[in-house]
Formats: sequence, C-alpha cells, structure tokens
Amino acid sequence: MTRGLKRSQIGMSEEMIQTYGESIFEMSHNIQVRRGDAVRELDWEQIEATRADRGMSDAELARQFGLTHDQVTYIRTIMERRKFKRHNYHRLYDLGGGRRFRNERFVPHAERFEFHQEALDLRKSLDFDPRVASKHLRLGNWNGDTVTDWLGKWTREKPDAVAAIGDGKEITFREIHDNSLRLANSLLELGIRKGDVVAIQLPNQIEFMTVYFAVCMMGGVLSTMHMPYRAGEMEPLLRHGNARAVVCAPAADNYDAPSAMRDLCERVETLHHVIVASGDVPDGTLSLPRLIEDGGKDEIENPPVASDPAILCFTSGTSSAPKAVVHSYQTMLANNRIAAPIYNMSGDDVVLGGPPFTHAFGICVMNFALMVGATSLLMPAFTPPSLVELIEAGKPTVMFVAPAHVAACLKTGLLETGDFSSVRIATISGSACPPEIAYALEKAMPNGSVGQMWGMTECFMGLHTPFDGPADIRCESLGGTTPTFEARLIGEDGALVADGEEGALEIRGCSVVAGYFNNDEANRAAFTGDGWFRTGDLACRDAQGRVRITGREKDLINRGGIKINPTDIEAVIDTHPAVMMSAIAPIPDDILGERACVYVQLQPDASITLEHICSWLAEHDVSKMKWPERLVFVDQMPMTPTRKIIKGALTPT
Amino acid sequence: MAVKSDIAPEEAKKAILEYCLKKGALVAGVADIDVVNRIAPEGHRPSDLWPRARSIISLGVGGQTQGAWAVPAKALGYFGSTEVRAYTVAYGAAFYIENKFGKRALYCPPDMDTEAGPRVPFQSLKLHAEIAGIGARSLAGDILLHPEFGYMYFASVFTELELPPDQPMQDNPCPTTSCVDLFRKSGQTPCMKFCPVQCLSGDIDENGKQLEMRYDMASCAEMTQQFEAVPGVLADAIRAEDEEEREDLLFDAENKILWYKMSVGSGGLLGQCFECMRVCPIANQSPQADPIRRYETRMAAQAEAGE
Repeated sequence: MTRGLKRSQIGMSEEMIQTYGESIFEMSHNIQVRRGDAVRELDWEQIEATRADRGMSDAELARQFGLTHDQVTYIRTIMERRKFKRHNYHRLYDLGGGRRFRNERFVPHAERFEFHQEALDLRKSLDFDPRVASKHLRLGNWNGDTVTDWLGKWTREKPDAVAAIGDGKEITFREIHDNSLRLANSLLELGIRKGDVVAIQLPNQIEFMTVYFAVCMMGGVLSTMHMPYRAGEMEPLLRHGNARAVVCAPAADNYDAPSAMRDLCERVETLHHVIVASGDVPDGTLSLPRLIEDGGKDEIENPPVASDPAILCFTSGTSSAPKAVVHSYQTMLANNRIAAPIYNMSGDDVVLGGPPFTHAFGICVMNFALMVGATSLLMPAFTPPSLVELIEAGKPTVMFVAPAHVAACLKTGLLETGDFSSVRIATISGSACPPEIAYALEKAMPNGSVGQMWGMTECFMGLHTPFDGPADIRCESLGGTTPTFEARLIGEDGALVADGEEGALEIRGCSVVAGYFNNDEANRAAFTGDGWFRTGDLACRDAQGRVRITGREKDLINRGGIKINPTDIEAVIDTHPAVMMSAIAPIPDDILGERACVYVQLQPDASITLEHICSWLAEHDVSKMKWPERLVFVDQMPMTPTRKIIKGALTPT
Repeated sequence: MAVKSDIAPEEAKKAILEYCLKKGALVAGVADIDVVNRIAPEGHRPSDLWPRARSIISLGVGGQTQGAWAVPAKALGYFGSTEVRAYTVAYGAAFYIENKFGKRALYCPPDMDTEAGPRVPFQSLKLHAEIAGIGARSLAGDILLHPEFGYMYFASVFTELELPPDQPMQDNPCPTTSCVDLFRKSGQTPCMKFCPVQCLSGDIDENGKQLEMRYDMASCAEMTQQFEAVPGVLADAIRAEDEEEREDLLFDAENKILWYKMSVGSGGLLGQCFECMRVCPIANQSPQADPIRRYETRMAAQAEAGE
C-alpha cells in the first residue's frame, strides 16, 4: 500500500514490481553517486549533468519511467523491504571501544559456530530438576570451574612442576598444557567442534591425559572405552555416543586397534577420524604425536563453560546393557572440590590411581590430582607385582585402589613384602570391600591409613570414611555421606528402613547426573525425577549414620521367596585357602524359582568340593539356608576393568 | 497578519544568527533559497513545502562528546545523534523571528515525508547547510564536515523574511592529507575502509580533491534503521516452522529490544553506527570538534590574552 492505497487502486501488479523494481531502487536515493564537488562550487552544468546520479526523487522517477508517483513510491518501498538485510545490525556488536571493522575478519552471524545436531542431542541429557540445579548453584556446589581452568592455573603458577609420571617419562604442567593446546587446535582443524564426542581407548598413560585435556580445551566430550573392549563391544557405544573421532593404542600382537577402529568408521555414521596414540600409523588413520606437533598454539576461541558436557562414560557393564552417563564440568568437578578437605591433598602429593582412566573412578582420581596440582603416577596395566613395584619406585603419597587390587596383592603375599611406607592415604573403592582386605592394606602401610569411599559413574563419590576416624569405621564401613550428598535406604515396601536393616540405597547430591543419555527406560528405573538416584546397591546404616554396602539388588537370589544376599557369603568363601575368588549367582529351579550356585577360581594347584565350602561356611556361622547348592569352577573370573566380577558372564555349564 | 516593513535585512540576519549562536549553535548561516530550489529534487524543494518562503536559516550544533567516541558502537548508536539540540535551537529561532520581526517563520520539519516512506525526508537539511556555507560534502556518504567544528548536526528555519544569503564554503576540508595518503596506498580512505557494510567508495584526483563519491545508502540504512527490522521479525515469526523458532524470533534478546524501544520509546529505532565518523580526522581532530577541544581552544585563547 502507498498512502493507504491498495495495489488495485494504483494499478500495481507483481510483474510491474519485477520489471521496474531494480531500476527504481538503484536510481532513487538508495544508491548515490556524486562526481566532483559541484553543489559547493555551484557548477550548474555539472549539477544538472549529474542530477540522476545523486539519486532521483519519486516524482522525477515517475516522469522518467512513465509511471505514476504512487506507483514509483510503491515499487521503491517494496524493493527496499525485499532487499533489507536485517542482520547487518550485528556488525555493530564487535565495533567501537578501540575495535575497528575489518572486512576480512568479519563472519556473519549466520556463518558463525553452530553445534552439530548430535551435540545438541547430547545436551538434552543434562536435564536437571530446576530445584536441584538452583540449590547447587545457590550454594556454590556448582561453579564456573572447568578442567582447562585448573590446568591453566598450575601451568601459570608452577609450570615446571611434574604433572604426571608414566612409562618412565615425566611431563610438566607447561609441557602437557602446550601439547594439549596444540592437539585441541588440531582437533578443531579436523572439523571436530565444541560439543562433539571424542572416544578414547588408552591405558593410564600421559597420552590419555593429553587427549583428555585437549578435548576439554576445545569443548569436546571425552567418551571413555574400556581397554578390554573390542570392535563388537565398541560399535554400539560409539554409535550411541555419536562419536566423531576415536583415539586408540597402536597395533599389538593380540589386537590391531587402529585397523579395527578404521573399519568401525565404515559402520558408525558419525565416526570420521581414528587417531593412533603412538607408533606406526596405518593408512586412513592419524598420528597423535603428529597432531600435537602440527597443532597451532592459538588460544581456543570458543572454549567450554562449566555447564557444558565434559565426559561421556558408559556404566561398567556388570549388568544388562551399558548406560551412557554424561557429566558436565559442574557435576564432575564439584565432587572433587567438595571432597578436597577429606583427602587434605596438596601440590606436594604424588597420586597413584589404580582404576583405569576409562572409568569414572579413574577420571575422578585424575581430576583430584589436577585440582591440587599434584603429580599423577600412572599405572598402565595392573598386576600385583607391577602395582607394588610402582609404589616402591614412584613413592606415591596418596593412592586409590579397588578391593580386587588389594586382594590380589594379599593373595600373592606382596602386601607383606612390599614397601608401602610412602603412602599416607589409601582409598579403597570400586566394589564392596571385605574388612579383612582393608585391614590388610592398612597393616602394610606403616605411615598411612586406609579409608573407603563409595561412588558410581552416575555420581562419583557419595559416601566416604574420614581418614582420622577409628580403624573399624574406615575398614568396615563406607562412613557417611559426602558433603552435599544425602542417602536413604528403601525397603521392599517403598518405605524407609530402620537403622541396621538392609535396604536399597538411593542417593542425591551435587554430582548426581540428571539421567542417562537417550535411554528413557533406564532413566525411569534409576532416577526419581527429583534428584534421587537409585543406585542398585543394598546397604545398611547404623545409628551413627555409617553405611555398609551389603550387595547388589540384582544379585539377590530368590530361593522360594527367601532373599539371599550373596555378598557376605562370597566374602567368607574368599577366605578359604583354596579359593582365589568366588562369586555366587542364581540358577533357575523348577520348584524354588532360584537356587544359589557358587563359581570359584582356585588358587594354583588347589582343590575344593561343595561340601568343603559348606563346612567352611558352617564354621563361620553362615546359616544353612544361605549355602550354595552347586559348585562350578572357572579358570579365570570375568572381571570389569575396575576389577568387579561380571556375574552376568557366569553360566553353570 | 500585521507585517513590519522597515526591517533592514542585514540587521535582521545578524540578530537571527546571533540568536542561534547564543542558544547553542556552533555555526549558522543563510542559504540562498533560489539556489536550493534549483538543486533540490522535485517534491523536496522549499517551494514545494512552503511557496512563501524567502530565506532559509541553517544552523549546526556539535557532534558527540569526546567520551562518547570511546564506547562500543552499539552504545554510541543510542546517543550519537545530537540533532535534537539543533532542532531545539531552530524551533526557538522560528518563534524568535515571528516575535521580533513580525514575519512568518517555519521550523523546517526534519523528519520523513509521510507519503514517501521512511527513507525520504521532507527537505534536505544537508543541502540547506551546504548552500549556507556551514558544511561541505565529505567522501563519507556526503556527510557534511566543517574545518573548525568537524561533524555537526543541522536544522533549518524557513521564513518569508528576505535575508541576504551566505555563500557555500570556499574549500572542502575532505579529504585530509592523511586520508589521501591512505587512499593512495590502499584505494580507500579511513571512512571507506572501516565502514562495517562497506557502503562507501570513491576516487580522489591528483590534486587530492574529491573526484567521485559513491554511497550505497541502502546498505547503510540496513544496518542503522532498526525499524525496518520490526516487520521482518513479525513476518518471519508468522512463517516460523515451530513454536521454538517462533519464540526465538519474537523473544530473542536482540529482537526483544525492538519491542522495548517501541513500547518504552527508549533509544529509538534508528541507531546510526558512526564508524565512518569515528575514524574521520576532520570529525574527530578538528580544532573545535568536541567539547574538550573547544575547552582547550578557549583556555589557550585566554592564556594568550593574559587572562
């Protein structure tokens, strides 16, 4: 409309706009050209000659084009609207205050960084109850810290201090920071964006830490893959996480990881890059050292913030299908910050982590060391002698181990012969720990004390013992809840159980994730929606609030309506001299529904019968109704990377 | 109306211009209305608006404070224009003329011609000022510059009083030597180089004078005239594929500012970017380009006079 007149009133058609539009637009005031300085000089000849160039009025255009004044005004204003680029205003946002426009540097908003859709999908798993988020934000449990912040702090404050020792090499904070920054830039060059998932399958070595820091720097999400996994196990995990790249170990005699990963690129749609940690690099893969060497040292333009996803871990898989756990920096690092006073760690400490970095426990330990600027002492693979040798050579002051690590050392006699004098704090975690294991480790540490902590991939540490507490608390319980955490025990009827009674452990706190990524069924089963996480563990709590894990809900054996918790029974059987380790699992029974079957890995050259086992249990006051009714020998107990028995892999035949 | 017939044109002009300067104008002059009528495009001549007009008084006020030039462009866009100060003086001058001389006067409407849309003014205040000799066209889209006061805003008063006209400036301060040097090296003056939408181009002759000025006014307007964005946002919102996109369009911070400005009337929907003037040596470094420079000039003069 012009002057309130419709097209039909001024004789206007779209065809006329198309015909005259460009000419009217350009010959009006929209494009102005002045030759010389004729007006100021009152050079009338030049003024008249260039009148059209200076931009004609609608009346002048109407006369020249043979249109009505209204038609010209209509066409001009329509063309101005159609050509209007609204977002040019954005150009002002980066100007002024000393900044000048540079055409070659300007990137229109529409062409600026955009998350991949998969990255946006991953963020949906950070779906916290607003009340939970508000609480942790207000209390400061969640803050703005990122891994890059922590690494940057030590790189500035003590650049030449040793950040990690592994495989006989040392690396300083400055060196690992610079290597990580170069790698981060290389990853960006590869087209991996902030929010993208980078998978890693490496043992605890400096290369793992470098990749972890690099991915954190560029805003990627590190997805850890346990070392025993092969292509068949990794494929669904890589697909579930929409991994863009995978970092793996070089080919070995028993496993050609680079080739296997390269083949996976054909089958996993999002997977484009295979990065090999060291050694020969097959065609179609990239060399990690080369990426570090070739990477730029530019600061990352769009680094992550604390609410961004940081790691994607798959639960250790002792039951059912793995579940994808996404931690933001807020949930991940809050646990370290809040637990810091418990461990009283400092930059002078040397921290040995038994659990692999591919597990949340391992990541937690690495973050602990980073938080305080301590040195990480790396153990690439566990055997009892290698652990003891590393302790004797590296002299860690703080140590994190699983019960199975200690049990294996105990069984091989290395706890008695090894020198553990450097260790002032040893934390046992990863699975339920028989008290005698904890006492045995404490006995081996002349200058230190043992404590326990309980945690899961979904929440990191939620229970712990104080290191200045009595030995019975530290060795026979998990202590109480970690600050900001709450624990409750729920009976079969859904009500809270009384002190001393066994119940299902539920927990909530600052490090509990909001839910599993893309797994509604698992979320419904495990998360209450208001911050409580159903751990699947069974536990008792005494009147002092000390918690003891008594088993796993899924491990309960239902023998004709009688629930048998195998954990305590296994602990007794494990003390038999002939037994290396044991596990009790149900076998189907037509009459009772389930019966207990004990699986035993024998000590070398030892033997045992079911009757012997039952006699041993009787001697240790275990009631007959809990005795196993079948015995199966296994050559090698199936174990998770965190040294937990995979009961699902045990079959009676 | 009773019209006084014994008015001396020179004295009247002197009194009117003095009034303007006293009320805050830095410069004022009289444009030859016949010249303006001959140059202005049809429909926008003074005679098109008011055939009885005999003279045009043009006045200029200073540009922004020195501090304002130091802030981010998005902030300067809010207050960079000081034209309202010029309008106030001109409005007062119109009353002054009628009251003092009994002749009709008209505060020349500085805004857009309602029938022609938002890019077409009633009159070219710039043309009035140029013919009155208080500014010369620059390579920065014909923005007028003054060798003493740099970058100014202008307002005009029409009157049926016959006043002796001034002449356009003898010399054009644009381009300066440094601008010519940069142009010789890069093909662009600072205003051309740093324009965020690259709407300026042109040529300089061998004597360092303006040979050609090209101004893509449409591109300039796209960045500065936010009111044009309002219907665009609404149209996009209507066409949005889903609620999420519609919410983004209507309530994105940048777009919410549009609604805010419309409802509260704050900031205006015209936000000029000023980058060409921010880098212009005449606009920023002329002896009296901003209040601090005017203060320094005044102090220096006082010191020289021994005060």
